[in-house]
Amino acid sequence: MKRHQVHFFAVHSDLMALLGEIEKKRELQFVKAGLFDTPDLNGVTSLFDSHLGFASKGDSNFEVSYLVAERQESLIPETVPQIAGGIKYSVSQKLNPQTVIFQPGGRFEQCVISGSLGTISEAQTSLLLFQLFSKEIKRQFEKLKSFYLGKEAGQLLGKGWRLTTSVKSPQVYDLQRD
Amino acid sequence: MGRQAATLRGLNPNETYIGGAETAVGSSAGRIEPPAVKGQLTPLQIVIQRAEENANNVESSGSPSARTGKLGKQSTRDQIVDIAGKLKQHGWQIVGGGGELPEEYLPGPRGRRRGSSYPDITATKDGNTLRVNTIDTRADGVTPSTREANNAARIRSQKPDDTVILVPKPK
Repeated sequence: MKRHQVHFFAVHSDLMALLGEIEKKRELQFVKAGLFDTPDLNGVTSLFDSHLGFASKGDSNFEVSYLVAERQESLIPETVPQIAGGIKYSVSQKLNPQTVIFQPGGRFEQCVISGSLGTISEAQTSLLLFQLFSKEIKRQFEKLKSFYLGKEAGQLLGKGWRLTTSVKSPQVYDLQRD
Repeated sequence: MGRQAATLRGLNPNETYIGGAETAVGSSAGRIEPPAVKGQLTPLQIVIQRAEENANNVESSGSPSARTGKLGKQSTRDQIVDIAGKLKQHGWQIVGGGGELPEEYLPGPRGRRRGSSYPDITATKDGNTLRVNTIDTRADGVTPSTREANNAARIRSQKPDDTVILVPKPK
């Protein structure tokens, strides 16, 4: 499970460059992962917009993440009856093994919140997508300890910004150069 | 499994520790909020309920090995998926692990791989984050092994504001 994960720090310009290359190579769709009130998936064919690379909550567990699939794939939400009544819809890899999960992370106040790419699936399409993304991340970003670092995110680290999984995490766990 | 369920049944769901201070399982005191709405369960109650249901299933169908076929990894994976399913039914969103997504990565000091953690389940609800780890125990079926206790302590130090619940792996 852990071997198909890549963790990175990237901001708007880093992610634009990354996704620019990836979206040139493959026609993709991006569907928000999570637990929702409706079964509507509302996928998009590109993540290029002004919000890319800006974290909204300052904690990677509360930032948006996307299931990424080839454009022709049909993704399925899981119906989750609620104990309190009603139904929610879960969008994850559980019923969609042909996907990877991509969380961009990004800038939040004087911090950069970590992003990640991963899959728990052994489906061929998923592994191909994982390889496509991870190859480009490794080509464009600098490896620093257990993370890959986008160019601008690296400059922000040099200026004293925190690179962290959450603004509430103790600073000892932030990414730092030795 | 029966002992596991009995042990879990003996808990006060609003307490954050299972066992004594040295064998603490859970988050720092007071992190698990009591139900905000009548009829709503705390995360710990949800996990206990799931563990009890699992225990009952195993008891009614013979030995765990007869049920799962493959002991160890598969039974633990099933347990993790079960707990995640229960959390979702209570409105928790799975954001890592749970057989649905890659496990959350908590880096070690200064972003190193050394000292990092991968909780089995990470879930969020109403601004709160809950992590569940399945653990190996000592012979008493309750006390975490030294390794698991260290792992739990590390996760608590990495995310001191959040809740950690440890659940014994199926025997």
